[in-house]
This record gives sequence, structure tokens and C-alpha cells, in this order.
Amino acid sequence: MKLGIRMYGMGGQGIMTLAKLVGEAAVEDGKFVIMTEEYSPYITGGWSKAELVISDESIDYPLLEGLDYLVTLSQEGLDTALDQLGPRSHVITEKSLVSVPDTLKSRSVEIPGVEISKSLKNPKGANIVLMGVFSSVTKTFSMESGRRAITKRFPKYVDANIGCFERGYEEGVKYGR
Amino acid sequence: MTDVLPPGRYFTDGNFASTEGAILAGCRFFAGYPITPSSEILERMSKRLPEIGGHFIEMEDEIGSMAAIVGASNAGMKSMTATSGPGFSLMQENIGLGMITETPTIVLDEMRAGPSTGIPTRVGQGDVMQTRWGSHGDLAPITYSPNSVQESFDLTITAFNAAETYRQPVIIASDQVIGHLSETLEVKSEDEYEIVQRQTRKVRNGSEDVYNYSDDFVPMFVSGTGFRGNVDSLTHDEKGYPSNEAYVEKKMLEHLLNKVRKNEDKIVKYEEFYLDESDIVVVAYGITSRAAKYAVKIARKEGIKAGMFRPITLWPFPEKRITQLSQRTKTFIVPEINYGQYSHSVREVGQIETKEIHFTPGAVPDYKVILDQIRRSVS
Amino acid sequence: MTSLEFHPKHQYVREERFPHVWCPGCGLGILLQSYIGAVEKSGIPQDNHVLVSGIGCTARIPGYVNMDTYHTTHGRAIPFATGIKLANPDLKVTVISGDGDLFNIGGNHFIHAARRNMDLLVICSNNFNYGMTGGQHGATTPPTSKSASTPYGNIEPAFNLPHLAYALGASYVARWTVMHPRQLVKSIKTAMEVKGFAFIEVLSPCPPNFAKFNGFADGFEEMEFYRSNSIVRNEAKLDDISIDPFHGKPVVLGDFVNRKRASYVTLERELIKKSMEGSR
Repeated sequence: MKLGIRMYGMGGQGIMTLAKLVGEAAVEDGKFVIMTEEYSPYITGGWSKAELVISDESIDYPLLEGLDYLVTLSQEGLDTALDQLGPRSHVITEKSLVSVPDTLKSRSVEIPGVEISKSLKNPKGANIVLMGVFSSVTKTFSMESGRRAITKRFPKYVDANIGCFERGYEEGVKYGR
Repeated sequence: MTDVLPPGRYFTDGNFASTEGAILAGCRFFAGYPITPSSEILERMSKRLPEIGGHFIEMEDEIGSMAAIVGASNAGMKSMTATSGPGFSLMQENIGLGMITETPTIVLDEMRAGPSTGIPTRVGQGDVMQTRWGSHGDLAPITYSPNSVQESFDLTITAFNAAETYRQPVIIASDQVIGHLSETLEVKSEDEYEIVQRQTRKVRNGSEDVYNYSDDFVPMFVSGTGFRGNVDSLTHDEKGYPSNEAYVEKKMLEHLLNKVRKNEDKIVKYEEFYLDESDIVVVAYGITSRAAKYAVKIARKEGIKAGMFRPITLWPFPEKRITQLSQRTKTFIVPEINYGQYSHSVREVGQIETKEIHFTPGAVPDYKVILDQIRRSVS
Repeated sequence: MTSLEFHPKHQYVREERFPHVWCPGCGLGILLQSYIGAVEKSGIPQDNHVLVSGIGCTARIPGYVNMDTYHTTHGRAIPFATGIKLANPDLKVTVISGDGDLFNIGGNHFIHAARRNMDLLVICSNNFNYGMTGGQHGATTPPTSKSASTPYGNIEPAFNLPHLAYALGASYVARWTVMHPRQLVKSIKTAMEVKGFAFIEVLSPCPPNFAKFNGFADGFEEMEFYRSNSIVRNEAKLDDISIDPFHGKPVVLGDFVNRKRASYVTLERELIKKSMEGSR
């Protein structure tokens, strides 16, 4: 297995935290992970982008050779990736912020992460909801490793974030992949 | 808590790994000036050093930073700074001070696109010759080139050990991509690492000299321990006193150069990949070596006899090994994120066909460009 | 070689290094003596003193002093000394260097060390020009005076060093000349007791350069000119004591400032203590 993943969002949405959590959880599961980051030149409020390669073997080349999964919390993230999405690419989006064209619908998982995180009284946790979705859809790391990564990163907010993660995981399962 | 990073597997970036490697190696003094892309090292040092009783100071510029770490090292502390191109240029004069006074210290240069301010946030490899010839006068520098997060940790420890062993500033030429990419870091328990401790002189009995030019290594004295020695940026004799005499310059300089040259076999490190029966050898370092290795793997699958040689110490130049390789291979390919720097040394030593690949600073090299050159070199 | 064995302060000098490099009539010998005198009176053991300099005639002083001495690069004595002081705060670290070294090429380090109230004593020998390179003008050259690089007279204003040091936050500020050795020794000794940044400007002649270019027969005549035109005013208003002797302005000397401000080493010690406790 070797997957190319891009995560995209606007400053403040926690896209880098999401990417690092995914990397940490996959490393916990013995996977090889490499992650590069890029930011818009604006100091605040611009886009941020993380790209990950997750593999069963050690990774030489740090860049993506194909986009297997795009996780985006902003429309811009989808629009800028359209010409890089191949027939085997999948898209995970925040439903309230990204509208997916009909041609992509069958390969998309649209999640109301913002709404879910609010309902779980963790309004900043939309990124963690998407982490749960990512885990169940891609099978790149186990639920247990996801929980461990969250516990390490947010020792003071373990329950609220694990709540978001588990709920996201269930949402992902519904899509049956 | 213990002073060093607990053993385990981490998913983290090169800047974090360099900082923690330095602390494990015994670094207890850091002076620096903020600069993209190495600022995270300075920031982490500002948090980590005070909590383990070390010293951190953000200086007014990189000139002052370099002077301060040479000063602190003379007072007995393992010291370090981290910077990038423009700051590295400002440090050159006091790197020379560290060389002539034989003061161990570490300079981490995280290379970015240049010249001048260039593109602060994007990768380059345009400083490799500066790490060799950047400070004026004759020098025998030692430069390490990490190509992963793991090496950012491990080579920082190696660099501190080399600085103590050869009593001089040692340079780590990392780059923006290595500093910022995240991958797995395996940390062993502290006692599994070999750490060279500072060897110091006891109180002078009135007759001991500061230096001994016929000996590769003489322990240094520490300020305030009663040695009463003079440390001088001027050419100096073994007593440490300045001299205008050519014979003193000769004795001092040959000592400074020979202590590294004579020990090249111990210092030089490299990685080899598929070098048996290879007609084409790609010589690549730093982040570029990751693209090169990938290209070589694909070329081998295609039946092309290609291999890779990765200098881990850029300097001293792995002269012996390049000479050996040049006798059994046809072509060297040297990809770099610059317009041809290390390739000159490869060509000069190898004396065989040496093709350069110039990647414009700003991005991770595209492995396909290297692969294409490998394919063209066989046809 | 003359034996200095019977000199009362011979244990403070490196006898084998004499004779020194300075010109006849230079003031740096007096400054060297004054520093040694203050070290002796300081009560701090000789081996707890460290002396650091940059480049220039004054910067050669450490080479003659029998303690741990550091002759560093041009302008960089202060950050080098900062490294030593932080690495071992128990040492009494003194920087002794010239005006060109400390205030032209090294000006940035001076202003920041004073702002931090870094625990250093900085002694500046001010001879109004770059002596070692042949008497070119610098940031301390008085208006209209001549130098090797102001043949038509200097059009630049000069730094008022005590005012500068005070404004930056130095704990101790003084100005003397090498014609006032007793006051100078006392001043250096007092400055050694100060916590934080201490600064002393010492006016000194430059016989082959500044003296010659400005019509003095020798170094002594140059110094006698300053001495006879000087007044001691410990309470002087510091913004009014710029040096402009060629337009009839008296040279104001004195121990101007000795105030208590939290020093860098004190604050760093507290910071380290707090963060070590916090990390447990």
C-alpha cells in the first residue's frame, strides 16, 4: 500500500493538526509516513496545505505521485485539485463549506463536520470529525491508534476530541468503503 | 523529567529533531537570530534549554550569535546556533574565529533559495561551497548533510562529537525541506548514544602552552579555571601569543588543516546504493538524494546499471571513494538544487564524464528529471 | 628583556610579552595599569577576572594581562563576552576596546548589551580615530577635526558616549582621561561592583595620528589640551556633554550614573529557576 493524500484548509481550521494527527496515528500503526506542508504567503487567514505519503515500506521520495485522497475544508482546496483527481481518487469534504460537482459525487464523502462538532459541544473539532472519517474510509490507521494520537496531542481535551473522532469514524463507516 | 527526549517513535519534523539531537549531545547554550526556515529550532531551544538549566539568548544579529557561541564554548559549554543563507553569510567571519582559536561549536545552516534574501520559505542547496570556502583564509571544515528527520537527529549528535574531537566549528548543511518535513524519528535511550564529552585542561603549572601544533588534539582551557591563557584571532604561536612571523603562520595553519586531513578516514561518511557493477553513479546529497534514490530504483527495474553515492560529510570531500568509483564507472550524474556547485569537486576528483543537473531553487527536485538523465546516459 | 619581577604588580602581567606594541606618548599603558590597579583593589580573585577585546590598539591590552584573555574579531568583543558571562555568571567579565571597535563596527552589539543590562564592564579607550590603520575618522571624531580620511575637516557629528550608554539603560556610566589615573582606577573598581551593564569612556591620545593631524606636537600636548579644558561634573546633564574641544567647549568628566536596574544575569537566573521547577 502506498497512498498520496492532500489536506487543505484555511488558516484556523486546524488542517495541520489534522494532518499531524493522521501521521502520528499511522506511525503508531507501524506505517511509514512522510508529510510536507505549504502555506499561502499571507501571515494569517490564507490557505494551508499538507501532503502525506503513507506506505507499508520506507519512503524515499517525499512528494505525491498521485492524489488518492483529498481532504478539504475549503472550496479552494477542491477547485485547485480538480485537474489532479484521477479515476481512483477520492474526496472527503466538509459539507457546509464545499460543494462537490455531480461528476465527483460517487467518489466523495461529504461530512457536516462543523455541525457534528457543535452538537458534541466541541465547536472547534470539525477537523477531528474528519480525522475519524479518514480513518474508517482509508483504513490507514486503527481507531485505537487514532485515540492514542489524540490523547498525546490534547491531554487536557481528550474526551471532547475522542468524541468527535469516534463520531466521524461512524459517519465514514456509513459510506461503506 | 529527564533532560533529553524520551526514547520512542515520533512523527515529527527536522527542526524538532535537530534541536533534540543537540540537547542529547550536551548542547547547553544557544544564541541565534530568527530566520526562516530555521526559526523553529531557536523557538524550541528557548523553551527547552532553560528547563534543563541551559542558556538561551536571542541576539541582535547573526554576527553576535556566532560570537556568543564561540565565547560560551570557551567558558566550557557545548554551544550551537541555527540559521539560513543570509544569516550564514553574516556568521562567516566568526566561523573563522572559531577555526583559528580551535573552539568547538555547531552551526546549522538550513539552506533556502538564494542569492541574497531569495525565497525564504523555499528550498535551495546553494550554500554547499560556502560551507567549504565561506570564511576567508585556508580552512579544513567539516560539513554534514542530513537527508531525513532521523539524520537531523543522529547527525547533530555526530557533529557535536566531531566538534569536540577536532576542536573546531562544525557545520550542518540541512535544507528547508528536511527542516520542515515530518516523518518517523526513532529515539534510543540516552545511554545507547556515544557522546564525546569536553576535555579540558587542568590549572596551568606555569609552563604549559595553550596549543601544541605537533599534536592533533590538545584539550582546551576553560575561562575562569586559573589557566591564564590567551585566545587570539591573530595568527598565534603555541603559547597563544600573536605573531607576525611566516614560520608561525605555517606551523599554526598546517596544524589546523592537518588535524582534519590526517583523520579524513575517520570523519568521512557516505551511503552507497546499488554501486556494484554500475555504469552510472548519481552523486546526490540532502533532499536531492531522496529523489535520486527513487530514480535509481526505477532505473534498476528497467535493467539500467545505475547506482547512487550519497556523501553524508560534504566536507572533507570523500576523495578516496570517488576516486575508486571513477575507476569502475563511466559517468557521474550530480543533481543539485543550484546551478552546479558540488559537481565541480566530483569532476575534479573523478576525472570522468560528469553530468550536472541543475534544479532551480524553490522546490523538491523532480525524480523524473534525474531518471531521464540516467536513461539518456545509457543510450 | 627587562625583568618586571620587582614591579609591585608584576603578577598581573605577562612579562615575556614586553616591550608592548604601543607608540611613545600613547595613553594605553596608563589604561593597562589602571585596569590592573582596579583588579587588585576589586577583591575579586585574579582568576575570576576575564578580559575580552576586539581589534585595534586598545584591543591589544588583554594580551599583556596575566589572566584568561580573549582577543576576538573586529567589533565582536561584546557578544563574545556575553557568551562567556552567560556560560559562567560567576566570572567578572570586562571588555576593553577602542572607540572604532566598540562604536563603529560594533555599535549594534553595544546598544543591545546596554539595553539588556548585560552584566559586563565595557571600557572604551577613545582616541577619536582609528589608530592602528593610520588615523582615519570614525563615529567619535569631533566636528571639524582632521584625520587621515577627513583632510578638509570632519563634517559628521560625533557620538556622545555617556549619554548614549545612559539612554540605553546602562547601570553605571563614567568618563575620565588617562591624565586622571587615580579617578580612573577608582571608577573601574566601582564599575566592577555593579550588577548589570557598566560603561567607562577613557580619553586617550594618539600621537602619530589624531595628535599629528590636529596640530599637537605629541601625545602629551594633546592630553594636556583636554586636561586643561576639562571640568569634573558628576551631576552633569548628559545630553550636554558631547566632546567638541576645538570650538571652546570644555570636556566634561565624572562618575555620572550608578543606578540599580535588574540585570540580565539576575533575570535569567530567575527564569531558569522558574522553568526548571515548572518542568518537573
